[in-house]
Amino acid sequence: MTPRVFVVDDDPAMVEAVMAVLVHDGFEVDGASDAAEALRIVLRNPPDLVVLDVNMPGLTGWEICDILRRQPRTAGLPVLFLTGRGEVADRITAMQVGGTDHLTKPFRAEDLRARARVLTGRSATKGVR
Amino acid sequence: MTVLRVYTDLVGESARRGELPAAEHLAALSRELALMESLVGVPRPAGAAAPAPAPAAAAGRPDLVAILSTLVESYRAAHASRIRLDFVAEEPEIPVSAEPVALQRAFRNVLDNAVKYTPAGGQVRVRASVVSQHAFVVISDTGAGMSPDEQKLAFAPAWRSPSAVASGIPGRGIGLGVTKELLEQNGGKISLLSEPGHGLEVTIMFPLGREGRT
Repeated sequence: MTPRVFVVDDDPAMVEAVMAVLVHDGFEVDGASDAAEALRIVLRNPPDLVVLDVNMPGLTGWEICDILRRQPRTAGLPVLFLTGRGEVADRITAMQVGGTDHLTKPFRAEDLRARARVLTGRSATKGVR
Repeated sequence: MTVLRVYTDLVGESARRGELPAAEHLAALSRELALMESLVGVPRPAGAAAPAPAPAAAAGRPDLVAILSTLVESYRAAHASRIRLDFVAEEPEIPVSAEPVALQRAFRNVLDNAVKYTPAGGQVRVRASVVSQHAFVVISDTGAGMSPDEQKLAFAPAWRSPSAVASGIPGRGIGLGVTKELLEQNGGKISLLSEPGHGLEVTIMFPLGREGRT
């Protein structure tokens, strides 16, 4: 079954870029640039992985992750934080709210793809395309 | 920069596989470069469709005309087969005192929604003008519009309680609250005008750059 990934970033261009990396690697990808809309979609129909920006106006990625962890259907959902924040304190916060992995912008397409494969339980034996 | 890096990686990976790069990846690279040029005031190559960058951009006052022109151009490239997108600037340049990346994010949010909610055969119009030392950008569409009740909720903080989310009550989720926050952080204001069935008109206002028009 094709793993489904949902991308959340307040910059629509970033959502498209992440989708472009993953869609050709066998993932089914969707996304949103509105944090509240994204949370509603993910809670209603949990994907296999959420790629989540941290610094968004209105509702931060940390808050979204914290909410997901409190809901039975999304408590164990893998969350990959994708953010410009690379400080140790930020990485700790990401772990405290239940983030599964953390990738700092600017990132490499190969790095994102490899993490998405691991977090969705896909082997990396196909190699990087 | 991250978006540029991602598409550069994808084009590089295609080359290593001996394949031509995907047209959409090249288009995205071109779009991001054009946007960056408009933000930092890099001269564009001769023949480029967007106007030359405003001197104001180099002075730290981003030019609304350059930013909107580039954005509308990219949306037009993606959606021209479905809807019509027009951009009219009443001044050659409109410099404002605002953070350029926040500006383009805010305008992208509004344009995303206008395009998303305009049916096939419809039109999205962007008009930029200057009135009484203020810049005005009006983005109007021919979509379904918003009821007075929806307009009241449109700028609510981008937050729904978990119970509201779990209830599955549909919302437009169009992120105008986020856009409002971004604009107000940069001295701007946003307002809505709409009647159901007659489209939505979003007006964004900024004080002109501190040094005024050049």
